[in-house]
Amino acid sequence: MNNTKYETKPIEIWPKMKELRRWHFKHTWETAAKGGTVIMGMPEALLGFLAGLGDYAYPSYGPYFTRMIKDVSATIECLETVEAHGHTKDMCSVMRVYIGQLYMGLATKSPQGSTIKPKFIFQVTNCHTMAQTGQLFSDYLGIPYLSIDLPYKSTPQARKYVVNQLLEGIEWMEKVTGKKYDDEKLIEGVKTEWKVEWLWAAIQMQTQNIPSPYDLRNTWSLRMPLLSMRERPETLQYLEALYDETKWRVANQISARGMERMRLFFEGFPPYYYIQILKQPEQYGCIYVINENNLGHGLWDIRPDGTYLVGQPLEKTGLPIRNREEAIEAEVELAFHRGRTSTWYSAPRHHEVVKRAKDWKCEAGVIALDRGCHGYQVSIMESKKALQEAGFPVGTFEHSQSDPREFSEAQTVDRMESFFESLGLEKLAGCGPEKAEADE
Amino acid sequence: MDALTKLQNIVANRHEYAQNWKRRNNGKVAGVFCIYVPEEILHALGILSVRVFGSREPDDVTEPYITSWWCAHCRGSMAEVLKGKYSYIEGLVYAVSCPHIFQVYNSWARQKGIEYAYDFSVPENSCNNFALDFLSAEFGDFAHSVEAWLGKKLDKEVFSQSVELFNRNRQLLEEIYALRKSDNPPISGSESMEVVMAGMSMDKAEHTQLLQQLLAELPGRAVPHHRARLMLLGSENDDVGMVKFIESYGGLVVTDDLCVGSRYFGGGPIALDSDLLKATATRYLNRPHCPQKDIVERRRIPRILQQIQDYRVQGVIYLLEKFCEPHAYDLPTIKAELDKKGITFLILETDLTTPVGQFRTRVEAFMDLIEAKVS
Ligand code: SF4
Ligand code: SF4
Repeated sequence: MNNTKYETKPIEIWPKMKELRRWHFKHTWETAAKGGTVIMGMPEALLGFLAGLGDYAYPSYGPYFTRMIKDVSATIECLETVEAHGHTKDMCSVMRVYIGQLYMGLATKSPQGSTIKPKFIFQVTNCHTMAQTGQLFSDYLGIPYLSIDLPYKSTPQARKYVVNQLLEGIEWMEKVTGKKYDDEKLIEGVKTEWKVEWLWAAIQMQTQNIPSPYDLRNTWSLRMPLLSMRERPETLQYLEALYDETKWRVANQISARGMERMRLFFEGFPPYYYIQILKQPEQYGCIYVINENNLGHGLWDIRPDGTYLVGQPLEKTGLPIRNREEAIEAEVELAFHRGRTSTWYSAPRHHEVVKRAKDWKCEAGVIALDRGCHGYQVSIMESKKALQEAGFPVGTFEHSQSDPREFSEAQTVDRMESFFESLGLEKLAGCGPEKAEADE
Repeated sequence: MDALTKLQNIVANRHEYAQNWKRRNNGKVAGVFCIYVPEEILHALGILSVRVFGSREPDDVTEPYITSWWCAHCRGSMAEVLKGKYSYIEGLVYAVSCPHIFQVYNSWARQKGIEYAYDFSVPENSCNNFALDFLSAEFGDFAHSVEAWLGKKLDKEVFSQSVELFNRNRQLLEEIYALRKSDNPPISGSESMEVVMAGMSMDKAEHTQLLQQLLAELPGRAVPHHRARLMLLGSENDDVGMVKFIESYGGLVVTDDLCVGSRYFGGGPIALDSDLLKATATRYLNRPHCPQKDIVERRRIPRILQQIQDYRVQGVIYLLEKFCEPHAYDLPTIKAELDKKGITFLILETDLTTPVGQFRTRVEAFMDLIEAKVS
């Protein structure tokens, strides 16, 4: 156990992250008011592709997810609306929250009360649940659906397949929006997204250091602009600043929480309505330091033994980006180098989980068994077994990431406390902030 | 022995059948997941492909490998694997569809040290303009990988013969299904399911022979009096007991949209083109789809409506496998379409075991409702 006390400092770029999130929220309504193109869909991959549209907004399946999930009774009302429409509780709980907002008329309503009609749905099929959500939104709103099939293995035919779909998709978007697609903006968007993804991977790698400059609570929030606006110059500036700050923190041994008695992994999604679960280890002077979902963003070269290495910067790949075709090819290459969120089904990955635990110098960790997400749960029990076989103690708890009805706070906290105690940890006086800053 | 009994026996003893087949042919057996695996390729390379089915029994062994909120098909299949029922299988092939099956495939390969395991993509947006080239290439890679496993080449002529055999087999299944359009179908829904299941579990040539025999034997046969003509919708439902249960209350299942049913053989033959891989991919792309592969145009709905018309269906039962997300997504849309047409509709949420008491009341009420409508 490492009992060293490290210096801590607030993250300077934090307000910028918040500002970007506010900008993204407002941008939807401003774009709609100006006659720009509003698109719906989960921005999992291929955001640079949209950049050629120029004036557009992409507020996922509605901009109010975060606000709603913080209010348990509003979330439950939303989920019950979905059930009243004939869906079952077995569908992804995140998507049910979005679908509920659709049925409630919220997904397309501005804070001022006006309703917008998105031009089309853009959805990549990396998560099948999202693909079917796209279909549902498209039917309900009566708008066309651009679905891009993204195979889970990077083969020559897979890359060609995606490139062809995107090139055809450009003509499709021109027809649907009545606007000319701008190749120069596409090229800029692809370059930006590549750089942003590279920076995020490089930042994440820095959390392998002892002390880690950030814990999972920090990075969970710091990655927010990557979720939906990776192709924007504002995000690039933000990440460049974050990268500099990260290097500075590492060089000066600035720690996330002041102590790292034990470094822990946290695999799976946390319950979004109880995100403070991520701060629990702090009471024991420990931190969660890594999570697969955080590596879902970033440009990675994942080795067969499960090692995550930062992928190549665009300049070093030798990929030319002089025209539409080349830009699309680069964009597709990038999609196949992202972490697991763009390729959910590329299980098995139990060896990666073990390698990650080692590379991030963890001694134990927690797996969230999530009824709310089908894709990520593939192989999760095998991952647990593999971690245990490799000697890592693993604690688990069940929940549904966006359905608070399937979570018991008291039981979970109790269960996790027993787990921490079984690791030989005891609560430290004065450790653990009262309230999580991390929010989504 | 009549053909139907023989086919039913094979379903009941499918593991023994596969083991005997291995002995007789000195061959290998591959377990396949999902109906998008081009079994013709395996057949042409001398492999017996068997569809992985689960047992419909309470499960107490899968928990360390699969979470309890995975569908019954997957938990049941994994239970069979863990109990050693599939120990004769050397290869596994997964045409990627739903994450639940991926988990079984992974766990099986990891826990049981399988000789050969291969998974590949199938387009989800199966109607896009580039899906065919992509799937042809995926099938090509798959063929190469089986060749590498076995150390032998796929012979074009043999491949073509396998395709012809599978085409013939599908044609015969279509003919048997067509007999169910009559006022007094000669075969029930549960028996038809067994006929299809047998085909997924045995040598195709033998199955084809039995289908021919069955077709010769069926005229003149009649199933007991029925109160209503039904169609089943759902996922990978191999629960013959459930179909029997429904039919025991006077419903006669005359058609279906199930993986272990018309989705398996529907969609017409493979053209015997010079580019046979591409022709095979064409057939698999144009087959009746499940919700996984129907995400833009919703081609399932017109087909279902056509079947309702052709088979004069009076009521539709949606067998929703508990925890099955793809079919849960489609449920309200399909229900709304059928409501528009005035089709009586019942949802039964199925799991490893049938809650007989609860279902009996609902199925009986459903039959009453149909009868009241008809009279
Ligand atoms: S990745 Fe999981 S949580 Fe996200 S949409 Fe897909 S199923 Fe839902
Ligand atoms: S589609 Fe549904 S029934 Fe089929 S394996 Fe997936 S969850 Fe199970």
